[in-house]
Amino acid sequence: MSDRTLLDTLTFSKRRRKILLYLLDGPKTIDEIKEHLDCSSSPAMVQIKILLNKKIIIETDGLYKLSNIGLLLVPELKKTIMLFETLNAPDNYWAKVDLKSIPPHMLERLGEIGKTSLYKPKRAYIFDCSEEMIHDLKDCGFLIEISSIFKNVYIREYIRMAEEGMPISLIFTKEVSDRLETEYPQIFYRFLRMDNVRFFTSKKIEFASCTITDNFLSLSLFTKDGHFYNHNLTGYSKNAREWGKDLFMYYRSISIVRTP
Amino acid sequence: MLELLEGDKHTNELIKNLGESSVSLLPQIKRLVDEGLIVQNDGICSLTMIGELIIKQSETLIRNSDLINKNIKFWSRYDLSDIPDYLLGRLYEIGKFDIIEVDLRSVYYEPNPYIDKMIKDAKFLRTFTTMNQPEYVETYYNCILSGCNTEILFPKALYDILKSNPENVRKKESLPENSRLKFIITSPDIKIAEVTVTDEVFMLTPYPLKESLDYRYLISKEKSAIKWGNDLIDHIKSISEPVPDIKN
Repeated sequence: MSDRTLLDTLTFSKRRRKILLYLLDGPKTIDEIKEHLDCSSSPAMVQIKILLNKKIIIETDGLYKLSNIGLLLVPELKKTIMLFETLNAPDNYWAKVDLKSIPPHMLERLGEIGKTSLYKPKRAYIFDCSEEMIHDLKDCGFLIEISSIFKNVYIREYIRMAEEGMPISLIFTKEVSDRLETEYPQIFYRFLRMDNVRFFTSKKIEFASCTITDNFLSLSLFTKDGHFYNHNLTGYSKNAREWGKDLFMYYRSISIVRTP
Repeated sequence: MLELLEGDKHTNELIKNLGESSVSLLPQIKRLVDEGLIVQNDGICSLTMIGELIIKQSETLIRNSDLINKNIKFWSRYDLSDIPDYLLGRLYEIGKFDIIEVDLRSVYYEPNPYIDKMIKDAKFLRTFTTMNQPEYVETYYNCILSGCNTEILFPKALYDILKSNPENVRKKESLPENSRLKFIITSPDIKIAEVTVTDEVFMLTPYPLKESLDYRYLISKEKSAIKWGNDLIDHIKSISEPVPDIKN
């Protein structure tokens, strides 16, 4: 045990990782740790002893907490674990898509997205939104869409939601905006005239689309070889939604407001 | 993967840099290729985008763990809370280091010969200290006399102690006009005992977490450690207010 390095101690055991992340919230008693791990005393104590031995955690008056070494390393461990959680998306998603389409400063923060689900529409609805996405859209309080592809949801669900008064921000490429204006002028100008809708055009959006609401973040990226299939990679955590908002702020900063 | 973060490398170069045999390294490379973290073309290995993302994210964790692993006892003993996060994130830049324990019986009377040797030939010297160390006045004085560009940062209380000794005032006044000595008054609340950087060496004395009589220097001669130390002193300077009544 003594020749195990600090890095091995931090990363090798799932239980140890779980204890360390739990202690980031603050000092805990052995009973709290046992309950958090959902195990009995003895397997919890085995891991605690290893962590004490490497001075990653310390114990005072029956409370276990991160040592100064733990405080230095565990936040980094957490970020790394979160990145792996993001990359563990269904269908090996991130290995197949074009990562270059995400702005570099947001790609660096990919770990914030965390756990996601991959939704695809049924065959008969292959050009529409997945059932799950339609369901997710139902109870949101605001909506942001950043998109370089034309989706039917814009001329059906989004216009209806806008008319119901929901705050909506749309950032489209010029091509998508032009198509909307040419083929659906009525809807296009209704969007532009509504006070609760902000409409922007952006010169460059390299991924397919991204939807952000107060409940979820949903991404659709092209594959590495430039192909597209209709899907939503959706995350619901607060961090994922914050990531989405920052992505929006970035695109908004390089977009032009479109007025009627 | 950390090697490849510096740039693409041939398998033979990786074997050499990591001091591994090809028998032990090649299966690891194959595993990384299979996992889609690196690609190999004509023996040249490079990171995939996912590989780069992962290794950039975990670099701090890996390198800082390795640094602390060299002396867990030392790092667990001292208070690092006043070192700003961006410097703690780069703690690994300290690289190879030694620990020098100062004989407590010599404190205030004679400089530690090893530390003294480190300082005395410096071309530039920057020290932040919160401990009164009269035994080093002579060393610093001689440094300044021989043209060393010297910057001393300390809380007002220490400056006052220094000034209260007439011998020190005489020394200060006897310095040639073109001497390059600068005093900077820092906040009295910084919990770092001493940081010293010269052109050759970086030295750090943190305070122990638990009250104990203990006086140790961490010493590193690595360029990256000297840079790190300079950045720490710059940080201390940035949170210090210059006091106008001190004439340099």
